[in-house]
Amino acid sequence: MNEPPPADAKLIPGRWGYLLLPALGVLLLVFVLPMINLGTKSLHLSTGPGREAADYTLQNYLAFFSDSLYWELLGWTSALGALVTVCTLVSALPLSYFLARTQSRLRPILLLLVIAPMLVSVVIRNLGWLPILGDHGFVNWLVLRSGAATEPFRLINNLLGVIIGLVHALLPFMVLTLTAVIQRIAPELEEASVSLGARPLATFFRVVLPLALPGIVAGSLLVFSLSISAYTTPALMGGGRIVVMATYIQQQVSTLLDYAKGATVSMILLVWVSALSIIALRFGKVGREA
Amino acid sequence: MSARWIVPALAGCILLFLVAPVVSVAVSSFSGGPIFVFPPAHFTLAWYGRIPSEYFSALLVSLEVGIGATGVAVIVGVPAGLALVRGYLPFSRALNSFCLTPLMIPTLVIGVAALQFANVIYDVFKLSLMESVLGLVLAHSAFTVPFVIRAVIAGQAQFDHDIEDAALSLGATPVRTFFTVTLPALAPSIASGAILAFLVSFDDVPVALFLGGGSATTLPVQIFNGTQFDLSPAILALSAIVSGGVLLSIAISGKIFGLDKFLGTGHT
Amino acid sequence: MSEVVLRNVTKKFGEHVAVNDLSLTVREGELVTLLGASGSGKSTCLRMVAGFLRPDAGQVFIGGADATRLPPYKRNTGMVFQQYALFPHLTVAENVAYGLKVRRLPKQEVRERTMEALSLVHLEALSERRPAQLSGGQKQRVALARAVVIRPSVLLLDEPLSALDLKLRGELQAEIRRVQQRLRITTLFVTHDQGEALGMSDRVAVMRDGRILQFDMPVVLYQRPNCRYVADFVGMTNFLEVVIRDRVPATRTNASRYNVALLSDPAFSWEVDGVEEVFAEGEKCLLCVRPENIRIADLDPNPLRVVVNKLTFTGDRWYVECTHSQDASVVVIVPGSKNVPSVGEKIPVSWAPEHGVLLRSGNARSSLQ
Repeated sequence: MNEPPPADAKLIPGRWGYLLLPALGVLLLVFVLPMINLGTKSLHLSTGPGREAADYTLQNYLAFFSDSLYWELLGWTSALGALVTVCTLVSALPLSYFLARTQSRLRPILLLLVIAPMLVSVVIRNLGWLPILGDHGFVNWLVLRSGAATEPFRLINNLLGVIIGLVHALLPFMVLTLTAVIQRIAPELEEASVSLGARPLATFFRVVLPLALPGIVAGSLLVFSLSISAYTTPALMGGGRIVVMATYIQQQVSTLLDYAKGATVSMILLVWVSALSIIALRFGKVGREA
Repeated sequence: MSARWIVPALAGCILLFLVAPVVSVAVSSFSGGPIFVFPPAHFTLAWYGRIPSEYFSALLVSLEVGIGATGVAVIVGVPAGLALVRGYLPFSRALNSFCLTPLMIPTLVIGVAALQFANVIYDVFKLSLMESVLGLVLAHSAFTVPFVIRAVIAGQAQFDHDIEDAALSLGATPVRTFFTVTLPALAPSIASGAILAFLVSFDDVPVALFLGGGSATTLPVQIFNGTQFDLSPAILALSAIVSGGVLLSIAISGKIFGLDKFLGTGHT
Repeated sequence: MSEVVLRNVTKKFGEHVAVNDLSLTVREGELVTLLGASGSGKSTCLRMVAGFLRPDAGQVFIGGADATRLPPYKRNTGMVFQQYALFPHLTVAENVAYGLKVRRLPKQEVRERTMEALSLVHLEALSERRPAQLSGGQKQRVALARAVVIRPSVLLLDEPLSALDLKLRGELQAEIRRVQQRLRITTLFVTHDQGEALGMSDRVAVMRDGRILQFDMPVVLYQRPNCRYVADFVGMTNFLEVVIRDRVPATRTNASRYNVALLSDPAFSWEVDGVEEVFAEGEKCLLCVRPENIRIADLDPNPLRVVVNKLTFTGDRWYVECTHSQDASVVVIVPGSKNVPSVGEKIPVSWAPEHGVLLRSGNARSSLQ
């Protein structure tokens, strides 16, 4: 609403700063140090389960980038992420547009319906897909009943299941971002377009989409980085057959106890996600200035 | 003109897609007969009575960790959020970004880092944080603290600073103003930040998977293991109960604090 | 004694001087308004009296004591804010009682005085509501009750009515004035609305660029502005560039009568009465006449001949814009029920000598009380 009071009128002049120290201390302990440790671990070679050699080396990274296996992993995870992002974007647009423009009194409830699934644990949501997508589940019951096919579709415990699961998990993020973005576009612009003769769909592509583009990019980058770092959904919806970067990291760290390699791939994932976040922030800012 | 109905219809379909799994859990928890067969042979409440005890102990662990991590978050996060907005600190933008950075790190990476760091702690201090509630509380604090800080910063953006001046002009000292006016006025933001932080901690899988285990198995991890190795409809019953609890607390918070405040300080 | 004195007060924000060596006295029980455009320094002055800002130079006295270094919570001032600043987590009654509770008064007294204050503003029925449930006008009345219940030595109001619509503003102006007079609280009011200032105040200080240009009763400010800015800011004025011809023997003590001629057309001249300043022969200055004082008639032998340019009707009056030449135009107000000349018509206009005001052209003089 208004600015905090000028320096003259501060309540406790000069001493607010100390209140920040406990948080900095806690974050140092539970975040900074573990991350630094992770980074350093990636610079050592593994000598056995849970142990590393003492020298610093970039060998791990070199091994990663020179082995086509790892490039495939990175590429494949990114491709999956891109596909999921596109599907999420396309699915989110109608819902976001509706939420942004509707005057209905149901709007708060609808927003709640968007957010609520996010707050129920991913494992529970994945559980819920089984009765719907399973071989004997709801969808296949419809399919077989209507005679569209004679065999049930494999919709879960495979790649398709993972895609459905990820799109579902990330949809709320995209919807919330896009709804905010579209709301910032004055409705009068669409009215002007229609009054000049453009049909609603044309108005959408000519006016709304271009203006929403920075926000769309920011939202997509966010969803993309979330999907390439996803662990739980690929594990549960993939039936153990789908390996993404997160799965690989888990295998290295929990099963093989190769901490160094696990750390290395984690750092690479981290850098990839951070780069995307920074770009997304830039686009987010541009959208707000527009 | 049928065109007018396309957008709401599509929106409706997508909303259905969003709520489908949650509804499915609730509905399936009542179905008798072989698991995950649609349509259900008959309806029954039997599964609700057959939830294995390890799920309840896991629920308890999740609650302990959640309350612990949220408690830490509120205790250090509220002062931090206040300091960042009012402190006129040097490098305030950098400090701001630093405090919110953990929210941009994939939870998986936080989990791996936590596990490996716990090993280091064990090697150096002979203190075991693995498979312990304390370890999970500390690891979860990495994101619950930024959550609450962000909520407090957002709450102050909508804060009418004149009410502090009003209290001062009415004779209240700065300290008294802080406790009787500033904090109560920020309470809704703090509370909604805390509730969201709790839910994120409660729902977490990667960190609890890596760092927890044994007697410190959280509910999502228990369900995760159960889904992969030992699937029983009783899990659905428990999941339905938990989902109901989560939805209820969101609904109540939304009612008390107003949905905009709640959503405003939430995700993304 | 609850006089408020600002003595040679200066306040800077970085390079910008918001208040410039300003002195002002608000007498006990008086309502003084600081009137000015945004950036004139009026709110800054108010905040220095409240204690939220400390002057870089000069002193602030409240009730005779030097309050310059006192923090706001030790000054016993009551303040009403533009956006009401009601505590959102407290009910109306709790809001009003806040200052009393801080002073640790016994519960019974708190309850009584709270109810008394609420009935003063006619809001007893809403005592258990929360601010979010009130309308703008109701919120402002609660804010007023909260400020006066503590029986402050000074009541400070910072543009309290700017956020309200016109009709509500009028009602609350009357309410504030009524409460202030009844309780006889020394009051300092800040606004940019000259109608509000003139209607409510005992005295008004017109401010510009951190200085007071003129400080006097509303009637005097309106009839005898001391510079162009004040004449223009307070009400509507016509300005004519004139040159002094000669001075005529006074008809009133302490005041002279001057004969002036229109600079661009010396054929037209007038007498101006009641001038207290001294002007030299041949000096150029401004002749100010209020539109409502001008008649379309031949009141004197040589009325100003003008052509009607534009007519604007606002219901109760006509604004008749006329021009004599490029450098001389006037606006005349005619009651709405009367006939008006048509556009293009040539008419004579004149006014009485005591309705003219002579002002120096150029810089404003600041007038200290």
